[in-house]
Amino acid sequence: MAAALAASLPTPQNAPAPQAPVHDAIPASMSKLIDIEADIPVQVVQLDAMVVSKIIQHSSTSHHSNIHGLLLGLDLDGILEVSNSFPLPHNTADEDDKSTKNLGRYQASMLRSLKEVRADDSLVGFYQATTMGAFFTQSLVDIQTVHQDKLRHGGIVVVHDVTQTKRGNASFRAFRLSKQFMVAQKRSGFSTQSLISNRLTFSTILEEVPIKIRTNPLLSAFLDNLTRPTPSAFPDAPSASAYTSSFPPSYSHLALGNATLSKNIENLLEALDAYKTEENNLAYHSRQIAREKTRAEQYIAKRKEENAQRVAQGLVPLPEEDIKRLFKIPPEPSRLESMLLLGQVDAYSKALESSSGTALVKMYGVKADAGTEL
Amino acid sequence: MSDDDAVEVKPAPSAKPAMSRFLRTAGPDSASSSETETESESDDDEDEQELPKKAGSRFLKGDSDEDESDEDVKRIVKSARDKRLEEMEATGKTMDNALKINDWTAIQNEFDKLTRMVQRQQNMSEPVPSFFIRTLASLEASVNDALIREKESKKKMNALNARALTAMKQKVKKMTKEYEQDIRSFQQDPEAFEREYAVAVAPEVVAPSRQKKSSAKLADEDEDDEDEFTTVGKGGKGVQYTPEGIFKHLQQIQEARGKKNTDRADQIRTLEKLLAVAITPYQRIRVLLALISSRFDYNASLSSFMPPELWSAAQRETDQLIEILALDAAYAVEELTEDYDELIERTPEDEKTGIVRIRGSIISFIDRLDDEFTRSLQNIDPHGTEYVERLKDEKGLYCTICRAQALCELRKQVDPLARVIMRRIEHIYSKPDAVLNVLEMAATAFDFKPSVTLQSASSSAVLMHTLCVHLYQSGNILLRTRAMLSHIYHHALHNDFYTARDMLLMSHLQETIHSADVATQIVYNRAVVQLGLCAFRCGLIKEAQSTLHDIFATQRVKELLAQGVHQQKFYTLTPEQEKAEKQRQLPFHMHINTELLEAAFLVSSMLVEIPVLASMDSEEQKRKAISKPFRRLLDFADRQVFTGPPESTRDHIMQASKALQSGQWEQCRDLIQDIKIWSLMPEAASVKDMLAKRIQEEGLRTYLFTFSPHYRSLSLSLLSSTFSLPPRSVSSIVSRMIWNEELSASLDQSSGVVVFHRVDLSRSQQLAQTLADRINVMVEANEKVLDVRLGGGASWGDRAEGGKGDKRGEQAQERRGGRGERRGAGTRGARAARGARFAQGLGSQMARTR
Repeated sequence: MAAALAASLPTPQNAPAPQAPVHDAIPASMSKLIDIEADIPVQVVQLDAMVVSKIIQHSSTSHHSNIHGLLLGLDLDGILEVSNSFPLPHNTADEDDKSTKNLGRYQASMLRSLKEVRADDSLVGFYQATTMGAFFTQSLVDIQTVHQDKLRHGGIVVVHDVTQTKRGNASFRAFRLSKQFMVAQKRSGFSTQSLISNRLTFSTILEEVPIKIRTNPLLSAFLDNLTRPTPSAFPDAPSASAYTSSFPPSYSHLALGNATLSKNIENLLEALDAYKTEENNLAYHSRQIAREKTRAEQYIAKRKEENAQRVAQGLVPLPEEDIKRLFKIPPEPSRLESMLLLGQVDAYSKALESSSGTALVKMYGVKADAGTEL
Repeated sequence: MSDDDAVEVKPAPSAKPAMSRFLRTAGPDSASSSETETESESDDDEDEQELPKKAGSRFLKGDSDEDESDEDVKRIVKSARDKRLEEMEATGKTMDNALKINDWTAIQNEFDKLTRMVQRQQNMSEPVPSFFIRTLASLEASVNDALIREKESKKKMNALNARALTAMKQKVKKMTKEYEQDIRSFQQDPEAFEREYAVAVAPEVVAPSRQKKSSAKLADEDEDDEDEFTTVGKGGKGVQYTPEGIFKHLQQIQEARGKKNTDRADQIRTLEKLLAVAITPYQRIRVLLALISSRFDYNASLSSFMPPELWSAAQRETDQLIEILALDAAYAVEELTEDYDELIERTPEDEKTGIVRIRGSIISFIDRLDDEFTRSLQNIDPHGTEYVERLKDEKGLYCTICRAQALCELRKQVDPLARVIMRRIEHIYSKPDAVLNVLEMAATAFDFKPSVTLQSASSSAVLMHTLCVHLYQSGNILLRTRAMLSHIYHHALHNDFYTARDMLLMSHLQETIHSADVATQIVYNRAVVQLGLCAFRCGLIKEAQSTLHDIFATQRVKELLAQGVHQQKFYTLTPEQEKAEKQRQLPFHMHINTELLEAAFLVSSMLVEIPVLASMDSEEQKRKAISKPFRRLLDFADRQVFTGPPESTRDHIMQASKALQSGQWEQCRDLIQDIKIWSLMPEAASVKDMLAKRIQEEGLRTYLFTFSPHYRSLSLSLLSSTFSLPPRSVSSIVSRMIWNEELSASLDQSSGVVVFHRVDLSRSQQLAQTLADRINVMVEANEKVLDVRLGGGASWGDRAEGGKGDKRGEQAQERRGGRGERRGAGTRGARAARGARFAQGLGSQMARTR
């Protein structure tokens, strides 16, 4: 899928405003803010309220497992303003050419349409909805890697946690790939040695960028108004209903959140299983490597011995043949997958911890309350 | 006096005439011609080719020999020599003829024949006949000629011929090099060379004739019990076997030993004769030493075994040797002695210490005897009568070993004593008492016996104990280990499970056995298996199962017990490996019956596994099997669409398992007791009774596990009548299950029922449990990896000790909160330290990543 995305992306050269103003036309006060070469690093990601609600809506109505879409916007003086987004169609699990092609076509036509209505059409990244915070997936990293090359500032990924949102706190986090990861990927792949030298763990693959949500002042005022309790129209109303609010108090906070518990554990188990399988694969590979290596070493030692003997006998030593040609030592397997799986395990456990932690507190609260009444 | 001189000087060449003489006379005699055959069979191939040929050629001209009279001695001897020369000349003539028609294949054959003859001649230290040198020289010329001609001519020789020609070229070249000097002198002056040869040969012609005369005299004096062949054979050289000449003969034989063309059978015969004439103990010991070793030398190949007759002769002679040494303390056979002149008679009076020390090793004879015995048993078909016959020899061998032990004790030789005791232990450790009694009776029938015997030890266990303790005290680690294992085996064989188990555990052998040699590993496997069988006989089902499990999990039981070569699927053994494997095999009578072993293992697995299987409620748990081999069989049996009446032992056990699963213990019991192989087990009846009882109990447990969800309560009396167990044992079994938290129920004593409490796990509870299990597994794997990383195969115990463990424990407490506290708080055993170390490992890793 990543490849398809890459193909469909506009090349960075012609992406930002083709009819770019001439440099001298830029007023002096603005020249500092506009950087054509993308020199000013992105400090903050600013999400428009519309983008937030669009993402939430997309992820709560869609029933697929893989919910993702593209972010559009512009960066200005270190602030990446995300002003619009659109969802991408769910692609089937079997990544045949057809579906990826369709995806690319869809994306291109979508961008074209947006351009026609003079809306923002410059890609700045993509968003991904996850459950229980486990957003470390191979596809996410792949797409982000592609974006890194093609987009200004390398693009960002906004992760939205559906589970948290259901519980009442909308969770958005913005990430981009860390420098270490880029280095490791460019230079040496993800062998154990490179992981160690680059100090790479699952938590350092991505670095988080602070997020800010921008709302219309009018909208803010409206929301503020909504939450403020208003005195009742009836002067002799009982104290309980003396104030009414558009958001009546709900008891949903008291729910223990059992529904997601078993789902959470199941996911955790799945991740653990996958990790174990990956681990076995790794072990198998490393055994293979070790075996090949010993064979090669034996061969070298034998050859050396032979040569020493030949020299002692006054014969010409045999040439030291190219070992690499004789023995195909398989390359060290990539540890990326297992690292990502560890990240998932970590995320699931954290989600489990937080949900069960609050549930426990609630249960203690109930118990204490019951104790005082009795 | 000149007669005697001649005898002394020319013993070696006379061996040759004797040979041909024997053949010649053997020709016409039908009775001894059969002897010829047997002799030639066992001879080297070379001899085989040559003997018939010689006999044949003798025949051709031998018509006249038949009417040769005995008084015409001189002519006979001469003709023996001449005959060889004549033969050589005949070969030469054939070669010449072949040369004329350019038939190189024939030339090659003839030349080979010729070289062999000459080689023999040389072995007899006779001079190389001039004829040979002449032929060689002319042959060289003609070969060169032929090669040149071959190059020039258009027409090619046929392939065979050409190949023979090149071969000839090489051979001639080699030969010329060998006789370079002779050829040169021949080429310089052929006449002189011939003359020289004639001179060299001349005195010999006289010598044999004199021998003959005196030998004829001696032959007359000899007893007539020997047949014609020996008499004549003796007649050729009988006079040489005098006590004085013994040492010279010995030396000659020693020198000829290991050489290619020596006739081993002939040597043995010579030595036997020498033994007959040996008088002094010193002579007898020397001859016996040489004789026994040459008997062992008799067949050189490693794969075949010594013929039983030779073996028993060697055994008898070893006995004799031991006897001589035992009777006369003034003679000692030792492996390391000071150098002495082998040609001089030595007596105790001459020696400084008063003891004649002779180089040799009795213990190596014993070792060799025993090894040869084992090898012959390995090679004989164990189902034939021959095997039984051979096995009877063990008694004699055992006696010999015992006597050797006594001798070693007498002479206080420490190292050989340990080895000989090990041999003795190896013969008795796997034997039941009855067989041991017979062996010991035979061994103690002699007055010369070792310090420890069955009679003095009163029981086989004490006998084993004394013998083993001696080895434990000896310094040899290998012997100590083997003795320990044999001792364990013996204990296990006598149903002394706890002693055997404690010995095995206390020896800590299981930790080091992987680095031991293969033979010791085999003994170890045997001991473990026997221990398992012992536990089974004693009714300790769980122990039996766990003991036998390891060896059955490998699926190579036969190989591990050295009772058969395993056929591997993906991997073929090299011939050398296969040979080594074959040599390791135990003789059949020492085998542990693998079918019985399997039956014991599967039945004990059934008794352990079926209740466990019934107690599991989730599919996931069911995947974990206690006994994988059993589970595999059970799954296979489950898949079977149609099950016929049971035939094999496995069928029986599988059907019994199914019956047990459904609570039909009676059917299960019948099926198990029907297994025929039990008859091979000692105390079969009591074992069967024990099994019936176990089946009742395990049946009850399985029933409770399987069907308890369907009951609210069950009356104990019903259970007791269903499983025909006494109410007391029913209630004890139920109580035990409740106590072990296998069954969530309580006993209502007053109304005599079991009341079940149903507890159903919720989905999340189940998941949480699985999660906990999974994480446990991961933690353990992690610890293992960490262990490898941190280096050293130090065991857990080592690490838990010392100040570090404590420190780690504290760290763990800080880091891990509740869990660490719980673990650290208890007596700080291996477990606490283990958890702590893991925590520390993880912590340091985390610190590094931050």
